[in-house]
Amino acid sequence: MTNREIIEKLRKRIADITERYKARSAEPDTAPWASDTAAPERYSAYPDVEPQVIKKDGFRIYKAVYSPGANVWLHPTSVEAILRLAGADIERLPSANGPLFLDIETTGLSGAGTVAFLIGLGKWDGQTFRITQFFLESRDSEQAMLSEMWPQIADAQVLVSFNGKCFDIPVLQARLTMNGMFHSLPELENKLHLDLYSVARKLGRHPFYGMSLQECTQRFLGIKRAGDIPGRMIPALYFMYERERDISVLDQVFRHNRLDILDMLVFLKYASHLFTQGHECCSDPYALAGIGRFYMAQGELELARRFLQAAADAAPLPHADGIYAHSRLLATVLRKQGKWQQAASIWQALIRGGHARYEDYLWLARYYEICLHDVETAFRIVLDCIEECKRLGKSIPKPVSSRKNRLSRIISNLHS
Amino acid sequence: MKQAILEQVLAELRRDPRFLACVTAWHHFPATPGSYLDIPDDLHPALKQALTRKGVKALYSHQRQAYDLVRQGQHICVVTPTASGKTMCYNLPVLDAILKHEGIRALYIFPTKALAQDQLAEIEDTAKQGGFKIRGFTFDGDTPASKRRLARETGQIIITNPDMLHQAILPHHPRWAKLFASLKYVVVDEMHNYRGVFGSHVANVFRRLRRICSFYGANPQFILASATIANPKELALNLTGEEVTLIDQSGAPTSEKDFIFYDPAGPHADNAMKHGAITAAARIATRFINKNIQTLIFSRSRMACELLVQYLRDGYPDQFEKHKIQGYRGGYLPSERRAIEKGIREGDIVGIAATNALELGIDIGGLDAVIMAGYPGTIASTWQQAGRAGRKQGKSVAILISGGSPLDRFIVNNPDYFFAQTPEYALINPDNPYILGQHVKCAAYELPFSHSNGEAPKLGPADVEHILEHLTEQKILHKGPAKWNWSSDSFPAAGISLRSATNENFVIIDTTHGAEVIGEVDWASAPMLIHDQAIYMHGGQQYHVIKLDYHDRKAYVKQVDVDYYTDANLAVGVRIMTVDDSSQWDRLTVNFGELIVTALATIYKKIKLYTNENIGSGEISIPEMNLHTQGMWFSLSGDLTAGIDPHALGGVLSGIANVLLNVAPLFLMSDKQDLGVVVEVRSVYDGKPSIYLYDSYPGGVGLAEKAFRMLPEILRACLDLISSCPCTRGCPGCVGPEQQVGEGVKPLAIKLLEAIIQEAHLDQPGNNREA
Repeated sequence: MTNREIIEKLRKRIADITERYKARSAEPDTAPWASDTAAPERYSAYPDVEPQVIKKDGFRIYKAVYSPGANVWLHPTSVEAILRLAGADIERLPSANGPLFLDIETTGLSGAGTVAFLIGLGKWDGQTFRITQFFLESRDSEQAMLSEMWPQIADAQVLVSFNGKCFDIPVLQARLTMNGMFHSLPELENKLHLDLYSVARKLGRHPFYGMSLQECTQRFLGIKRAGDIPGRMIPALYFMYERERDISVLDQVFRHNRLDILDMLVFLKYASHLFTQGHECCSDPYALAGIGRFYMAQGELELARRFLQAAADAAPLPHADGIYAHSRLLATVLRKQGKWQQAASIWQALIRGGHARYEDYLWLARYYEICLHDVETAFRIVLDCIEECKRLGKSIPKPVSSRKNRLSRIISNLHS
Repeated sequence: MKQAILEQVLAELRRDPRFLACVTAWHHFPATPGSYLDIPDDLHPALKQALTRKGVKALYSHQRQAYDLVRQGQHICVVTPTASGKTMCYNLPVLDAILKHEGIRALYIFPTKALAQDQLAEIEDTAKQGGFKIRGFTFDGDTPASKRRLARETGQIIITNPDMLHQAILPHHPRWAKLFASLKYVVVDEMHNYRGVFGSHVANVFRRLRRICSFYGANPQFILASATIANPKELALNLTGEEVTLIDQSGAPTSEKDFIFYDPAGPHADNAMKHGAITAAARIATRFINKNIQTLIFSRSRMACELLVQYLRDGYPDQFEKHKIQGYRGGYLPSERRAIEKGIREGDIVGIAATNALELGIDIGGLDAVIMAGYPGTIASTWQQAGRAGRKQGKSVAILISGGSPLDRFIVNNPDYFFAQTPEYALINPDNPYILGQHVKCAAYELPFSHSNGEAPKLGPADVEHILEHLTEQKILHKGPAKWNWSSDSFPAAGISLRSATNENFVIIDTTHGAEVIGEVDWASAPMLIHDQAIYMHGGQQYHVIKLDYHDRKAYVKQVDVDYYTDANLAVGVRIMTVDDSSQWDRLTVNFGELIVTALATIYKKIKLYTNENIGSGEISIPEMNLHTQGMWFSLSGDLTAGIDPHALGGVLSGIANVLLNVAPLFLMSDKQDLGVVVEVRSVYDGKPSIYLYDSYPGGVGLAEKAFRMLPEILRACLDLISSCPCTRGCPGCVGPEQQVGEGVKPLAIKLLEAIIQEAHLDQPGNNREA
């Protein structure tokens, strides 16, 4: 190759990469199915309200009241729905006393030096959703503030948070400890707690979205917050407030905290909707498969089948390996339900499409051998599997070779 | 039976004229009887049962003394020899207290993870024998998350290290509230490790610990244990802030022991070869090992340790029993180490070649013979290594073999110097502003300092208001109406390391069959040991380094069987970055500033086994390692050194540097290892003869800075030291042995020091410094 040719080739490669990069940035920043069928009424249009301020010695309480009106996403969620979402996480049945939504803003990530300077609590009182925020004006008043806040948590039957098990609760525990409120610790520890982060994880990882609360509400409800501050800036704003004593620098933080609580409310409502009716209205294959997987673990095979079927139907991304995993899971559910024939058609489809693993071959072979008593076809399928392994340059898995040996013995016995 | 064989070998040695020609001292220590006291009546019955089952009928006097003093509420420090049952001194009172009051908790602190594991096994064994349950946990980097929670919630005894206490426990103390609220005992073993800069850090960690304890209303008792040092009571006080009662009379019986000093060069000093100590050690050890006498050979480097394994295996008569000879050093995988320790305890292993990794309190029982291939470097660790020899009954032997270095040869050829010398001092300075400042930051994070109660804020005894004000200026703290509040979203302990070395390691991957990790090498040693083409030895097996992946910290090796090993050269140099302060006279300049100390592995040599012939060499291309630190340096003008033969000048400068290195730690309350010296006959910086003294810590910790400020005192002390040293031609305690620095250096060094002092007008009292 001459130098000119090499340079030409390089140029072409650079052009290719640039083109691809352009194409990628031109992609929509939401998935095609985001917010398509899910949220008929836009929550983002829901106005934030001006809270009432109560000044105490060294801390403040902000109270905001929201009447949901016609916005169904802001209506309370049933206790049953919470139980369902929590799966095995909640064993005891909460009473009618509704859940308490909890979200805190802090001066850091963890450790004794991290202070929760803003504690937001959200709760239904029949008609309206009330958010109460406790704000620490002076760190010397932390104990007074925590004492004032504590009865609300003590009263609640269920806490709802986003990642509270790893963050909010440990930080609160540390603050209670450092303020000598040891008696409160066991109660907080044993409180029923629905962590929506675990719900979000059940809904599956998604290539376009992360796992934060905001990313979840954007993914499912198309909510984009306007004029919000990034969470990582919050500690610095509080330190600035402490030096300048200008509370207006924190207005954004108070709003951010309220929006987080509202987001939790909406996400909880939407998630419970997805878990019951998602297979009929949702087209996000990752979420559908995640729910299917969840029901499978719960032993609810028919529900699992419905959601996995919906996931397989919705799978629009030919390159995503996850989709084949969904199909494989569906085949497993069908097989467990005794619907071998339907399961077999999935394994066949996987083999035809060149997406099969050796397990798929083996299951199909078992189907022919056990259900159809067709040992010859079963043998042929195992041979195909071996052929495919060779073609891909992989070593033959042990279960495959032992099945081949077994089948060939049976066949030779049949013929002798 | 074994005893008779050992006696027999010793008798043979005593009759062997070739052996005796190299012996410079043969000291005999007679057996001493033990001093016993009754097991305390009030000891919990379960513990009494455990002791009975372990065959303990009475306690050594120091164990009983420790028990009684702890019961009286005193802080104690136990300093008794290796294998004198120190562990019992703290386990007995602690377990007894927990058995009597279930809620009591204790914190054990060991310098390494391996020791923590041993300790937990020991406690669990005692509990099993006594038929009781104790909730003991090790807590270190390897503890899985699930166990961490259990340890925090339920642990009665938490066994950890200072680094974990500093980075993981204290900054998260609310999670450990249950431990701190009921903390009754803090056990600190291997206290002698906590000296110099490391010790100063640990002392501040203990100050923070006591501050947190008092927040939770606890005031724990300290139980410390240490190997022999000159000043245990003082070190304990400086570490813990508490007056301790010293227990230094061991009640353990000692067996009869011979201590032999051996110089392989014999009377012919000229043929002292570099690895003389190793071949000599292998030769002597083989005489013991081949008679099935369990023998431990200490060497000073990992390379020497591996060479010894190879030589000993070659010399072992039974080809099928070569696994009876094993190596033991840093870099072996933990599982491998545990197996070797077990093999030693149970007698399956007869010969062990080890580095000082085995010196720390790892429990392997006593051995029949200990051979030191080379002087371990300090009086204290020589006694500690020699202490590994000696069973409960019968005779044992320790042999110190001189290496080729002048220091080694001096010690071995002047046995009286060694036996008369007190062990080293362990000095710390917790109030070093650099170190204190870092821990004040951590402490302020853990619990805000208060300024409303009218008292000056303190960390331990140190007044820290100025540090808090400084942190406030830097906006790390905010001074509120009552307290200094943490005002930064950082986690201070994460950025502060208690030790100088990074814990970054290279992993060694054996690609002979597939790919298997066989061990690791620390970052600083990698250029010397695992450069491309090096022969890396591990467990007596040779490996050829195919490729060192410096960036990803991996070395790929293949098993080989060759008759050579490799040895790399390290070139050390200094680059001056800044001059921050300077004192100048006509013929002398003393500077303080930032330095980069560089170490570059340049070439390696292939050296033939046994004969040590040089059979080839190659270049090493590994990036230079840099230590960016602070230093002070003298630069001498030509007039000052005029009378000295240019060829002798290097030796004179080295001599003064050696004195400086011996004297400065006493003024800086630090350890020799915390400092480094370099001399240049012609400095790259200004072309003048120079002596550098620097902090061996990245960034520096203020030692050289303090030395610069205390220059008059230090220089006068240096001169006093050389002038009053009784040696005639130099010794390790002053300018260094003659063989190291050259002939006639001592008087020249005295003259030059006097000239320096005169030049700087330090000879006139009261005139300490010129502007």
